[in-house]
Amino acid sequence: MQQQVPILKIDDFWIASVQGSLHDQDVIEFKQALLSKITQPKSNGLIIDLTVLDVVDSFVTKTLIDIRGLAKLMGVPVVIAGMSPAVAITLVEMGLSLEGIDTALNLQKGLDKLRNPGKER
Amino acid sequence: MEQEIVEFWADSRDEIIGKCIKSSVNDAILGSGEGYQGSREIVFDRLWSALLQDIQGDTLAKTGEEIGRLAREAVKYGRDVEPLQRIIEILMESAEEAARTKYREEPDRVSRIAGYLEKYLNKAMMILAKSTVKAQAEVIRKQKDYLLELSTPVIPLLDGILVLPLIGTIDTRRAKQIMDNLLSGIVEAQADTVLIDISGVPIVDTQVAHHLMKTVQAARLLGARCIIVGIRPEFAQTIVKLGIDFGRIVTKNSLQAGLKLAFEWHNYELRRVGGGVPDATTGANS
Repeated sequence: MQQQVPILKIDDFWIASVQGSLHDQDVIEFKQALLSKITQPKSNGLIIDLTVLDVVDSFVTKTLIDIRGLAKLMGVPVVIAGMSPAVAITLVEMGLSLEGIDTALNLQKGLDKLRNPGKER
Repeated sequence: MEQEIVEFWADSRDEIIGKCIKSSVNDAILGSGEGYQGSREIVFDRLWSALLQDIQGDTLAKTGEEIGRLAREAVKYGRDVEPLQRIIEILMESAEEAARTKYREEPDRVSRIAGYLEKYLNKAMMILAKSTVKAQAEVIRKQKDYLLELSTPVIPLLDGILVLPLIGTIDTRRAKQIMDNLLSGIVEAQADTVLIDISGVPIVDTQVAHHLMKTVQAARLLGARCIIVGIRPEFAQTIVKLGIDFGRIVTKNSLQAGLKLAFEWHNYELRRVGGGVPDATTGANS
């Protein structure tokens, strides 16, 4: 089974870059893969990069919220990076503002946020 | 019958147009400028030939086109359309007069032609009214678009800081435009912080507040933080009275205060170097 979403490690941070739209099954697999990664030692943060994603559905959104909750239980901060305006508008129109999830404009800023968590409000 | 009128119309071109030109229409009615593209003879000639074709085909397509064009021009240049009505009337009157002179011995024929002309006159007036309304609607639509374009500037202030000054009433259409503009502005400038100045929005109701919240939430999803500034006392009262929860949205009373906070977030420092304000006339520090 080919992995839909590559999950890479830079320093102590995991970076998952979502490529194209995901089917429900892919999303579930993606969640499992992520969880097995961040339970490894030396996992100090997780960035989910959505730069190339242009369509989201409610299931993907729910999964994002799930991942955030699970990661929090394990003490790993999560940042969502590079969301496109179209996706943001869709989410807001659906009434899902992803309260409590950290966001960043791009991967670089996401990494900065994880490295200096105190700087943010 | 058809043949009769076609014949008459084609034969008496010079009489009809000659009468039209001699009639009481002056340049003030027709407009002497570029709007009607030249002299009144051309205007009448075009209408005459359009009507000739239409009478032959028993339609009103050509005439409608011609009248529509005149109406559009009149509206475009801000002229009154009433003279156009007069022009059509004069054309028909002149035609009737020409028929009376031409067929002096056949009153039956004259009245048949007059009836026919009357029918066309009514239809032409209808077309004029419709075209005018259509032309005006088109102008209004265009102006609305221009207004929308002008009304939502996203200003990059400093590296990473955008300012969105909102001026005027916000409706759903404009709110969408604002959100689209802002989000693409954020991505383009890769800006972390947006100052939304609402001091120029006269009325803030639940709708506007809702749109504002949605815009702020969408911006947050992209990774930008918004500061809403310029909240006037009435707005604050409305928000409290309506029980709207602005939640975690950062608000400040003035643009200055918002700017100060944004500078803090970005680790900017604003301080004066040297003496006072330079003298405007000499450019030297006072």
